[in-house]
Amino acid sequence: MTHSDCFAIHASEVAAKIIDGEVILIRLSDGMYYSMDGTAASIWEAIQRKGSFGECVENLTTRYDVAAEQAETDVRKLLNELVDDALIIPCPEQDEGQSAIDRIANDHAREAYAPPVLNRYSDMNDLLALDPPLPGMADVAWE
Amino acid sequence: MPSRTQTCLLQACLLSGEPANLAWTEWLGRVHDPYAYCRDDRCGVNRVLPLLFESIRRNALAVDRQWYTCLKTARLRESLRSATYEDILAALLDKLSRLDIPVLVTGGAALAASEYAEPGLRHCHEIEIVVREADLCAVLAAVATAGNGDAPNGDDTHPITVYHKSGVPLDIHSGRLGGTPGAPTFADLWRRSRMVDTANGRMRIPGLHDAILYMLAKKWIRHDRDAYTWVCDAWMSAVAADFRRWEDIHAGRTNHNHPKIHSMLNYLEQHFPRGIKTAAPTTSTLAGRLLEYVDE
Repeated sequence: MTHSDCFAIHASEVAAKIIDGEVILIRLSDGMYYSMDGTAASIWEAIQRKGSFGECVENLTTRYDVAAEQAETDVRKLLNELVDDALIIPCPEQDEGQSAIDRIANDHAREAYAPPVLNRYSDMNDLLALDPPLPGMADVAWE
Repeated sequence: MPSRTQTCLLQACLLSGEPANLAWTEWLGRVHDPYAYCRDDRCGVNRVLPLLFESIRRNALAVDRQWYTCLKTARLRESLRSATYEDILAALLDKLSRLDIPVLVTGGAALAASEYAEPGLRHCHEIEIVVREADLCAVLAAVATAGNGDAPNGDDTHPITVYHKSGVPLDIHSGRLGGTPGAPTFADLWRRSRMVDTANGRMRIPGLHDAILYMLAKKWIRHDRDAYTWVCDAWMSAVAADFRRWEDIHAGRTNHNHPKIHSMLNYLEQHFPRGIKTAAPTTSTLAGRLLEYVDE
């Protein structure tokens, strides 16, 4: 994984929403549920903008009190997990100047760092109203 | 009627400010583990989790972090599911419209579209429509085709049910809404009907009183185990008109002796009194009309 490798949300497979700072993810094909907050949510924000690996790292180092090497290691681990779970996919690199990362001024007080975590919930279905239709069903015709 | 624990949760979902906070605190004290309680529930509590999420935000209720994540997930999933449900409903209405068949959408979908802040806050299971008796064959021919699941399974009464390929049931009422001779006719319902906007266009639904009374009566007729949805429907309907509609329903209580109506109205008055206190006086006999829907 290089700094210029870019990633995007696997839109046909995943529904995601950031609610009160926490990313809620549903993998539509099998109803697997995920959540991320804190540093992981910051990385997700970068992915939403088709950010590169380098931009995900930069998003952490500008916002949190963390060394670049540590951030690279943690971002790489999270991105690999997200790819493995088919939540994101590699995408073409952005053009120069298209980066949409919100760079924070250097004098901004940085937040305490905690490694990003992808939470998985395999038992959430026990809690939800699961009668049909499945969310995201495309073919709704009555033929 | 809902139990004390169920009532606390309903109040936490529907009320605001201190009453919501008190109900929420009592509910937490009663259930100890919200996740386990909701997981093991068989009375439809999962249908009100999106409303609970909204109340927690609206009222800043104290909530366990992991439980809050569950509620966020429930809210997102129901929002997505509702969008698909609306698409299926819109496809049905479009198909029947092309055949020039007049249709009333009733049941949960009608209330979700007209009384709730957004349809995703009201879980809808089946799609229910009312058509003229003369149009029934044409409707069945349009929807009971290959790919739409089981064959029609109606009996001598209403409704006939067919299934969309997604698994969503379609209940088709023809001629009347309800299986009794006194149930409102299609013509009556149409005369009192109204149009509502949806994400996919517009649809015609029964007037509010027809819609809410049918939902209340349906719970009794079908012995529905869902302890929550009818209260939410009644509350949302009342809130939408500054509680005057609530009073409409309540005012008819003394006009007859139907025990189920007494039980329901007593419950609402006891546990959701704000609507009663702030309601305007009325001479409506709506609760009497509720009898029209009940198969006794």
